[in-house]
Amino acid sequence: MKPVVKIIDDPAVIKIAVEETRRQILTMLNEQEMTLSEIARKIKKDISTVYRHIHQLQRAGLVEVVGEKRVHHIPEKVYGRTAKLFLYSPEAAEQFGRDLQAAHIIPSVHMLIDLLQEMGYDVENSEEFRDNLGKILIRFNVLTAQALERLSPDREMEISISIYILLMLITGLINLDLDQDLSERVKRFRAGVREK
Amino acid sequence: MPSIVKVIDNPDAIRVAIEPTRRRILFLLNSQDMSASQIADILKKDVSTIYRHLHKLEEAGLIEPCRERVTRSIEEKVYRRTSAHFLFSSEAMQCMDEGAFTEYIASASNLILPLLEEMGYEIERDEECYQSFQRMILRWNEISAKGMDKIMDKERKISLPLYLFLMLTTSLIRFETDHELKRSCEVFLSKIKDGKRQGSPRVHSP
Repeated sequence: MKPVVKIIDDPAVIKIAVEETRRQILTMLNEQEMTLSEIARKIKKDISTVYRHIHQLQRAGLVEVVGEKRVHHIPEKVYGRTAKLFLYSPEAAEQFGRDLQAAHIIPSVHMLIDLLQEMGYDVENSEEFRDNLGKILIRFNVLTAQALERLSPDREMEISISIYILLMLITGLINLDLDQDLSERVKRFRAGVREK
Repeated sequence: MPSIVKVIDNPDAIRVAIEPTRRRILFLLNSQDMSASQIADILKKDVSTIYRHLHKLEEAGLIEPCRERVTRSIEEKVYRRTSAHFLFSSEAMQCMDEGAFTEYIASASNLILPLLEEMGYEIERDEECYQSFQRMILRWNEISAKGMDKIMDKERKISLPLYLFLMLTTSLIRFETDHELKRSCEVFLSKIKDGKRQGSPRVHSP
């Protein structure tokens, strides 16, 4: 049995996970488990290149063999992630700081605002608003990672995606009362969004 | 290809999804695609029982077979969820008896409260605490799906981290604008007495 969420606290592993092609592979494996040739076809790269990346991901403990599949009677290994969600521990993420934010948070903020607008929210789309939202997301990620780090492995196994979302919300909301900066930021975020 | 989120708008499918054993199965399939015998091993139940549940889940459109798996030369179907996260439409929930959710909500509090406690928060577990938690969860379930249909019918890929951010931001807005959600959340948070120890959480022993 695998956990849904796994905390990564080894900077070397984060380094492997954030590389462009490997990030693409990890994202694809979240949608479905795949064989080397399936991955190669999808990202239009050589099987040998894909093999190299998968090998690194496997050694870093991010990917594993989950089964075998027969393609034209030839068995091929099927690969899957070791967890649906990898959360970087605040200490390890700090070593990367801006790089990690540039890779994850900034594109996310733009896409997130697009999605909110499509869902029917009026969203202020200024640079200041985006910057503020990005900092809220980072802070919530840190708070959630810190909270999850305190759990024993047995408990970690109980976390599903919906439980994870709830925990992220509740730990965040608890901290709104304690963290003046975060609370101000959330106020500013809320002021810039209107339900149509 | 499974989608990141799916809104269930059929009350029968919701009933199928919230039954305890099937909830366990959906939970297992959350992290990994599995065959009936793999699930049976983990849940320590008969394969035939698991097949019956898988059949119902498949009929309700919550899971689907995705490939064959070969174990000791025997081929087995491997199942996956049709979506990483299921939300219930508020229309469907409203035409269901609130009692249908009693066990579901109770088990949510049996999961979440100990998790929060292990994280170092002290919770005053009185009747008001349970009630506010249950109202909060039920209401949150009821309104989470709002607007999701507008972004799901497209050929667009939403990654899991982005989806989590989306759930977080929409919830942050709704915890402020939805009266019932705001009220129940305030009562619940007031029961978390020692959240003040944020800087020095109780560290569990290894």
